[in-house]
Amino acid sequence: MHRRSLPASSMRQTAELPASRSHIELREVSKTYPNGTHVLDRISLNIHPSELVSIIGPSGCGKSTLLKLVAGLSPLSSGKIAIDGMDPMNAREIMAFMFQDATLLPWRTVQRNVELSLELHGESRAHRKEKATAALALVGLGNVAAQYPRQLSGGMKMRVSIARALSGRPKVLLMDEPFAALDEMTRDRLNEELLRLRAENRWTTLFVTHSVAEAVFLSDRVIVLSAHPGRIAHEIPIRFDAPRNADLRLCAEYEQMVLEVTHKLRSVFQPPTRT
Amino acid sequence: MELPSRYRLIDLLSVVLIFCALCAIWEAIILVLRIPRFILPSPWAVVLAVFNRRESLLNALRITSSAVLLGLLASVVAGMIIAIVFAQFHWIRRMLYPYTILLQTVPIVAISPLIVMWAGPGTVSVSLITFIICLAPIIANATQGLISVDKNLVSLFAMHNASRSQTFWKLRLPHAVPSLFVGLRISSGISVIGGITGELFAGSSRVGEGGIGYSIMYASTQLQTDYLFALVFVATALGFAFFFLVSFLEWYFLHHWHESALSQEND
Repeated sequence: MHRRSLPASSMRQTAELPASRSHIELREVSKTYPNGTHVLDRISLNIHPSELVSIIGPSGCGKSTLLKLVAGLSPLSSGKIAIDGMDPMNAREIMAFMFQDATLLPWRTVQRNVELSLELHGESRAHRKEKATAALALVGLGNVAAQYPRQLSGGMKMRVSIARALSGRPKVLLMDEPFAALDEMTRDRLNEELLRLRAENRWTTLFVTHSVAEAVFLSDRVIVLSAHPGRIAHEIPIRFDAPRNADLRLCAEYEQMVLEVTHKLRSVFQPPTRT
Repeated sequence: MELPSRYRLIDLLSVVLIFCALCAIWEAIILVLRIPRFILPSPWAVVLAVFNRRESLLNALRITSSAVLLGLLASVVAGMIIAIVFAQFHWIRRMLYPYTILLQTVPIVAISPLIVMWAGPGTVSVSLITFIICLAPIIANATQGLISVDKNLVSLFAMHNASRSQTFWKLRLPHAVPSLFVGLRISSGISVIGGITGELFAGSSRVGEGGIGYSIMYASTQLQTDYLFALVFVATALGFAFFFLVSFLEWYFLHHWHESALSQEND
């Protein structure tokens, strides 16, 4: 059996800083599956400290794959990815990954689910408890700590998942369509929640979504990928004069931005070429 | 919502009424067709037999249930170990999994005489026979449970640089518990059948050591049909007891979180 090679983390102290100084660098990243499918073609992208970059594109453009590459969950075919100059596998300590579903362990209470990541890093019971309680309070779920996931709604489960991701005080968040399975109202609420949390703790974030509205609402920059193979087709900076909160959705400039991104997204939709 | 208790009472009442009706028909058939006692005893005669022979019945029950329990427990322990090895090493699984199917398809009746030859009649042989027929469902279901973990959860553990043993103890094993219980339920059902069948071949014939299976053979050769019926009744009760024991354990371990153990409460 393998033992964990990493000692109890020493990075946690520095992670207390409000603004993340971590940056992600992708240089000429390509990915070809063993079956020959060419999913990603020479993606070069810099994500600056504290920036939230959304990746949007037609299904099959490899946006989720790109995220897995950054997380080190899948090997690159060529190119280089560096997180603060580190290899993805070595940068896992400062990253948190959020999946399309909440990925909670059904046999654990909410509290113990949030503690999981800390537990895997070998933190003491008292520490775990304290941090998990704080993380749950952050997402407004302190009152359901003793419940089991099956007792929660989809939106609440996702909040628990957020709490778990934040409990380890990451500097980098990788989010793979985290709210895709939720109804629109819940998704909007959680997007506002994410904005609120980001105001306090500006993680460097890579956010994969298929919702233009979500991407525009949250991002500093939206990357539009084309499919077969995935290439960067457009890069759209998102800036608003209005403050980022729920009311932004009612502003004309927001509407304008959504239209622009939708337009650019449409331009990359092509009927799949037959060969 | 749970059913109102009024309906439960009606359910229970109907079960009792149907039982009484069946007994009445049984009695009537004996009276009308004048069936002799040694072919078909009356329900009352069976009740009397249960009462009069209670000591030998309890003794047979004790012998059979301990042999069956031993075989079942051994199959759970061995099945779990095999399943863990299968789940951890793909190549061993691919090599040996076909043999577990063999285990399931071999007719137990056909190999019972062999086991008696090797282990001699008595508890050891009966336990061994029970063990063999209980093993396959445990292996199959526990292995399935251990390897069918959601890919994202495996990724989640990988993202935290979890070790193989952490992933096993904190993810795979708890995830496999519901599947293990599926196997256990199947096995507990067939264990009693296997034990009694085993005793037909491998039961000890020494005085006071015969289990239910052996006693059934004995009763049939002696034409003690009322006693035979009493034995069938005890065997059925034993099967029920095993089923309820496993159901209780399943509820106990899973009712917090797993759908299979939930009542309709969360609708």
